[in-house]
Amino acid sequence: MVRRTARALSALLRRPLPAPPDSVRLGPLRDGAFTSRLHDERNAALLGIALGVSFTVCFVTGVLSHAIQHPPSWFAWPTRPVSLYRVTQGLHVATGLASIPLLFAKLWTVFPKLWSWPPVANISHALERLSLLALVGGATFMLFTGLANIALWYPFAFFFPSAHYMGAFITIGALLIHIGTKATVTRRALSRQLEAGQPYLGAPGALTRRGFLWSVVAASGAVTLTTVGQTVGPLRRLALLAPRLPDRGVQGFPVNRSAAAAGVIDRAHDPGYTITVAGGVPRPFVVGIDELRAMPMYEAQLPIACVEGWSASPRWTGVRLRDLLDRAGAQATAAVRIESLQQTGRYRSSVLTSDQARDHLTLLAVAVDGEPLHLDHGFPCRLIAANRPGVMQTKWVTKVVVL
Amino acid sequence: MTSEPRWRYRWILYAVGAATIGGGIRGVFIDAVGAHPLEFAKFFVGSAVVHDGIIAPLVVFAGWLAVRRVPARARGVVQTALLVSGTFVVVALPVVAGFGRRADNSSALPQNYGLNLVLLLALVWLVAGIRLWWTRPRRIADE
Repeated sequence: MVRRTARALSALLRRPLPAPPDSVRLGPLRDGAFTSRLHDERNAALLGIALGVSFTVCFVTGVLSHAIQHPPSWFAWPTRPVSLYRVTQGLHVATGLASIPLLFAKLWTVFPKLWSWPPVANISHALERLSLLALVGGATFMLFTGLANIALWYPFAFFFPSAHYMGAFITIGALLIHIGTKATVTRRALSRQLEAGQPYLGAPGALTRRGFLWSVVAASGAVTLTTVGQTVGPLRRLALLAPRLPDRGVQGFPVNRSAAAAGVIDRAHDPGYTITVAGGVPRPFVVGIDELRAMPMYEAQLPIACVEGWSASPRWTGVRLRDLLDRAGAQATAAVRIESLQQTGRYRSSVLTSDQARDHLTLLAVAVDGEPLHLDHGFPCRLIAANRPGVMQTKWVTKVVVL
Repeated sequence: MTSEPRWRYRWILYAVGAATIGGGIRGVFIDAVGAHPLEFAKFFVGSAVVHDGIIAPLVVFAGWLAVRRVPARARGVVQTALLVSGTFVVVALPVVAGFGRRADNSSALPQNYGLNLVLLLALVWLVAGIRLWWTRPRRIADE
């Protein structure tokens, strides 16, 4: 019964649809319109596998970054190693950039298939082409929005993290379907004995299949070498196209949101500036900045690692958050919300789990590399904790709320 | 329409893939304030249309020109140099245009990217030139 239904469904999906008249078969739709031997099944398979790997890396690191910022109840992000997020997010951006030439090469290789005739042979074919729109649209959308975001360019009305996150699921879903349709063809293309003695039919002197693949690898490597220095220190000198440099900015490292953009200049300089420790605690209190500076100070070398893929690791000086929590009598298991002077914006506060809040490296920093914090780095006082995205290292801290 | 051989268990991936796509589309509507469904659709489909309708034809044309106009000896090297140059241009466009520059933040886009791009392109073609010179046909000197 089930089998019969499946067979009937399969027959329906494969019933030929009427083809458009041959008279409209013009330009790239003509038979043999594409002559290059590089539009080749084996190249398509190899590039596809490379993209499958790179998109998976981007997807996993991206979903991870999202989970760290919006943790579901079952998710816990450790405080060690302190640079783990720096590595996963650096990998996310670097892999996305390296995928750009891979995607161009792959789409070019299969470009003649876009013009296959008839355009829609049957319902199954129509569904496959629809899933390819999701895949091609998704892949180009993800790489374009990602590239624009690291260049701080927002030509779209949507909020980048929301759209990039949802787009990732559509793209990966379409990729799974694509793997389903192409698994057998890919295996066949890769196991095919490549005609060693067969004459090469391309234009004389033009790139061979292998030469084409190596050129794509070279392009991918060239993009990586000229951008990855924004997070990998030793390659800093080569980072000619990096949107940020780890040593460029006030006090020797980049700023994401300036005090002017956050609208906090006056309040940060207000002599009446205080930090309130309150919430679910028996002894809430308020301290002025001088009193805070008189408390025991600690140093920690911790990375500031931005979602945009740059990172730097200066030496911070400040008060341990756990000392403030102990003074207020907070429970050891309590989570904590850190609030900024910023009055609006999605990143005006961030939450620390009890592990993060109690970590001896978690500081309310007042100085960096031996100098008082610059206003753009969060003067008078900012949060710095191990293994967190930069947007969660709240600046201009004015309130610690024990949850 | 070719009838390619298909993998037996492809339906499993179809089901998981379709569910994942469904989840993404649903997410766009649930987070409508952030993801902005109309704008999302515009850029999602637009990315594919711009690629398939403008970028890919340009690349095909450039490849065609390279094969027609470049002497056989230099063809492969020129194709590789074009491919690497094109990638540099695409990756550099947003920073060269500098839409993300901020008056209040000198650490955003701190470099002269136009100059850097020119330097990189010069390097690519210099390497291509050296490679062609190195492999130039030579006359065997008379003994």
